[in-house]
This record gives sequence, structure tokens and C-alpha cells, in this order.
Amino acid sequence: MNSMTELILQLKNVSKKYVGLTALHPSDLDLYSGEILVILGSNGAGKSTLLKLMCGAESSDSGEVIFLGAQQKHWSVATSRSLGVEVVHQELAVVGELNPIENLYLGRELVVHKRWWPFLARRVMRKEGSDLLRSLGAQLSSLKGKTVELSGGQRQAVAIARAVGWGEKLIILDEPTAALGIAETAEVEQMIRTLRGRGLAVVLVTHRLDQAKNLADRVAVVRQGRIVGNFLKADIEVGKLAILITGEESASVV
Amino acid sequence: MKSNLTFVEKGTRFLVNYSALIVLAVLIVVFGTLSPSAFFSLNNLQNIFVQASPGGVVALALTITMIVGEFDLSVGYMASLAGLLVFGFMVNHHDSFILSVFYSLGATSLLGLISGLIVSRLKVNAFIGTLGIGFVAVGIVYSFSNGALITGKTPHIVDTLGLGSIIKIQNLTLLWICCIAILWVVTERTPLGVHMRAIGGQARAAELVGLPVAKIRMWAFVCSAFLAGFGGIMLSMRLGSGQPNAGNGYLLDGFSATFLGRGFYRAGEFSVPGTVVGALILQVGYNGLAIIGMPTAAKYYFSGGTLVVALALGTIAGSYHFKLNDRKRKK
Ligand SMILES: Nc1ncnc2c1ncn2[C@@H]1O[C@H](COP(=O)(O)OP(=O)(O)OP(=O)(O)O)[C@@H](O)[C@H]1O
Ligand SMILES: [Mg+2]
Repeated sequence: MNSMTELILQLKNVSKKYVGLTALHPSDLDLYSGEILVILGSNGAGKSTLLKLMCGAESSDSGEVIFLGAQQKHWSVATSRSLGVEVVHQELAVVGELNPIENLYLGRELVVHKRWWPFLARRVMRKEGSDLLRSLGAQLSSLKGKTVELSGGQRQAVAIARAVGWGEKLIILDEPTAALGIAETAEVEQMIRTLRGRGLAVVLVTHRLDQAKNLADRVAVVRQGRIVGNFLKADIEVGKLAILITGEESASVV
Repeated sequence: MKSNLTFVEKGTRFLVNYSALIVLAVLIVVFGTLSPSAFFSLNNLQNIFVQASPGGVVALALTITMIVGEFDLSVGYMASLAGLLVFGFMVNHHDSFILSVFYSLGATSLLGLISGLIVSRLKVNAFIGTLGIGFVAVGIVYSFSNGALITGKTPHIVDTLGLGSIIKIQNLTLLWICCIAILWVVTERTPLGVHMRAIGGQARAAELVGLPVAKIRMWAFVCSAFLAGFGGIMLSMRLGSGQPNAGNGYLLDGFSATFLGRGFYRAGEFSVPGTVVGALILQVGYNGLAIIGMPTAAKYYFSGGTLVVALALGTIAGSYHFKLNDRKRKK
């Protein structure tokens, strides 16, 4: 870790209970600038829950969230977004009924005549939004139709573009390449490296161990609501990871 | 993409996107042919618009809640309440017109706030919550008037608003147009409008980008109750009295208008322009049936029929959209 790295987000003793089920037992996790943290774990392990606590989409039942050294009493999505945290959620990453441009700018629309009453600056958003999408290589069939009418991969591209366009400190990606083709996956992986180069902290959930090994500076493994492993790139061994993920010695690596 | 569509598909898409406008045009052609001189007279056209106006405003009230993915069963009762209260304050309490309007809309807005709190914060189903508040409104109507009509000496402005016109357009119609213009701007041209549609489309996704879902939904109910009250006051200006049940029928008409409206402007979705076309369909129908001398029963058959047809059209439009999407995806 070089001297430039900075502690972006600290989760201390955070946990989450749903009715009758503990999705995440009290856990600690630190996120550093210029570092890609890959989170691994089987289905239902609690990865998405952990990410939701990071961005404030769910509130923690315990512990504290510290962003750039400041303790956050009300860690909500609105707060985290305003501080430069962006998320691509596994589900409901975009609103299907809105068009891609509306999705890109959702919650921070550009406006004119701000003092009297805010009107949408629709032409500017369409221009800048489509530039952003194009610069990230997203090929969309239509910017005017509903986002639900796009393919799964195209929808994902819109969500990723939004995160990249506005994320300044921390970008959280929950299985962003699950719906993508080979070329698109490679592009997203390249983009993740670019983000790290720019000094952002990146959190990536994936089920693909090869992707984890390629991208990760650090790996955390979640199993049954607990962080059971947290180690640096040098210590990553695919065989060990598989055992940690499943909790079984005999697990085979796929 | 579009060029991949066959001629039939293009035709179907046109029908789906403009179904409400087509229905309106067909009605106009039918009644215009059956009774051209009566239907197209200036007097009758003014009539259609002025009769559509109060109910049109109430339908807009309903539309606001529908856009955010809720609905408000109390709009008809709110309209009755405000229409009655405004006369009650003017006649029984000798309050000024402005003050009476202020009190009446204040009362319905307050009830709307309670509905909003119940539905958005306590998460009570809108069906139960707004129906309950609707009955509270009826209760207030009866404790205020004992079920009797309120009439008497009122300020001049009541007749001016209810019966007057400016360059051939009735004042009530102008008020409706003002409501349409304001609501169109808010829902289609401001960030708030986008947020409302996002919440109506996928509330959890809207929450995940930090939109204040509960707050916007709550204010939608306030806005709905305010507008419903406004429509009710417009109606009472026209009737020249406060009547305990005057606005009740606007609930079903409002539903018909909003659902018919899914066949225009934003196909398959609720919108302000769509609801306006929906309200005009209903009024042209009522008016035309009366002109060609159909009995009152026909009005109810038409009203019930359009509600069912509107719901069916909405479903067809929705499923057609999905079929088309599947097709697109396979390519
Ligand atoms: N909103 C919720 N209400 C109740 N239980 C929930 C909710 N969200 C998640 N859970 C439960 O919490 C546990 C962890 O879920 P989570 O989504 O974090 O898993 P995950 O590791 O992301 O899984 P996957 O790989 O399938 O995405 C699961 O058992 C799930 O059923
Ligand atoms: Mg998950």
C-alpha cells in the first residue's frame, strides 16, 4: 500500500437483521482509495446486504459508519450520493419506466431557471448523457424509449454509466458483469482498473473467481452472514478461496 | 429498431399509442353525423367543455396519485365536501368568497394530509386509507348541513365564475385549463415529475437512488385532496348551491378518465394530457347521448361501459408492449 492511499469508508461492527433472519452478523470492513476490493460468497451469504450498508440503502442495526474520518449519524443513500458514493445494485439498478437519460440523471437532474422553479434542462441532459454513455462504449438502441425495453446488458450499462459518471470517492458494483457479454465484460473490467487508477475505492461483488483474481487488490469472503476472510492480493489462492466460500474442504473450483 | 416493425405492427403500435384520441374522434364523428347542427353548435361545444371542467379537475387529482403508484378513493367525497363548505361559509357564516374558498380547500388538504400520512408513513393500503378518509369527509358534510342543500345570497363572483365566460370560453373551463397547464409543467418538465414517475414505476428502485418516496407520495395525496376540493368548488359555483352529494359521482368518472388516458401521450401510463382526453371522451359521450335523445339510462351504460373498456384497453396496451419488447430482445 503506497503512501497515497486514504481510508475512504470504515464499517465498524455493522450488522443487519431481517425478520427472523440475520443477514449480516456484526462485521468490520475498511475501504481504501485506489484499491479494488472483491467480495466473494455463495448465494444468500450476505454480500448485497453488506453493500447496502456501505451506501446507506439499509441502515445498520449496530456499530458505526465512518466516511473520510467523519462518523455518519444518518448514513442514507442521499448522504452517500452527495459525498461521491455510487452503487450499481444487483436488482432494481434502474427504473424501467423511465428512459435511459432520466435514469442517468435521476435525483440530480440538470435544471434551468433554478431560482423561480426548476425546469428540466432536457436538451443538455440528452446531449451530455448520450456523450457519457458513448464514452463508456454503451450501445443503446434508443434513448427515448423506456429503459425496460432495452436488453439486460444495456440496462446494466446505463446503471454502470451513472455510477462512473458521478462516483468520486467510492464505486460499489454488485455483480455488474452478470448480464454482460465477453467484450462488454472486458470493457467493464478495464473501466474498473481505470477507476482505481483515478484513486477511487472500488467494491466489486462477483461469483467468478478468475475475475476476482484478475482485478482484486484485496478479497473479502462472506459466508452465512459473516466476513470469514479478508486478505491482500499476494495471498490470494483460488483453491483456498473456494473452501472459504463454501466452508467445505472438498469444494471443487469452478 | 423501428424499421424492423412490419406494417401491421406499426399500425397496432399507433392504435395503442393513440387509442384514446381515436375513441374521442370516433365519438365526435358519430354524434356529429347523427345530429350535426345541434352537436357542433357553439353553445353545445361550450357546454361540453364547461360540464367536463369540474370533473376534469377531479380526474387530474386522481391522476396525481396514480402517477406515484397510489390511488385516492376519496376524491369524489372531497369534491362534495369543498363544494358544500364553500357555500356554508359564505351563506351561513357570511365569510368572504376568498376566505370561504381558503377554508374549504384547507379542510380538504388537511384530510389529504391525513390520508397521505396513513398511506405513506403507516403503510396502510390506499384502498382502506382513502376510503376511510372519504367517509370522514361525508361525515363532515352531514354534520355541517344535516344533509340539506345550502343556498342563499352569495357574492357576485360566484355567478361570474360559475356562469360567465371570457371570449366565448367559460370561466370554469379556463380554470380547468389553468390546472392542466400547471400540472402538465410539474409532471412533465420538472425534476419532481420525473421523481413521481420513477416512484410510480418502481418505488424501491427510486428509493435506492435516494428519492424521498414516502414524502413525495404523501404530498401527492395532499395535492389530490386540494385539487378534488377545487373541482368541487367549481361545480358548486356552477350549481349555485352547496349540495351534499354533488361531487360523489366524480370518483368513477375520474377513474374512467385516468384509465382511458393511458391510451394517449404516455401509452400504458397515467399522464395529465391523457386524463384530459379521457375526461373529454366521457363528456362528449354524455352530451352526444343526450342530444340524440337517449334516455338517462344510456348515460350510465356508457359510463360503466367506458370504465370497463378503459381498463381492458389499458391491459391490452400493457401486454402488447411486452410482446413487442420480447420481439425486440430476440433480434
Ligand atoms: N429485504 C429483505 N428481507 C428479508 N430478508 C432479506 C432481505 N434481503 C436479503 N434478505 C436475506 O438476507 C440474506 C442475505 O441476502 P443477500 O442479498 O445479502 O445475499 P447475497 O450474498 O447478495 O446473495 P446473491 O449472491 O444471491 O446475490 C438472504 O438469506 C436473504 O434471504
Ligand atoms: Mg446479492
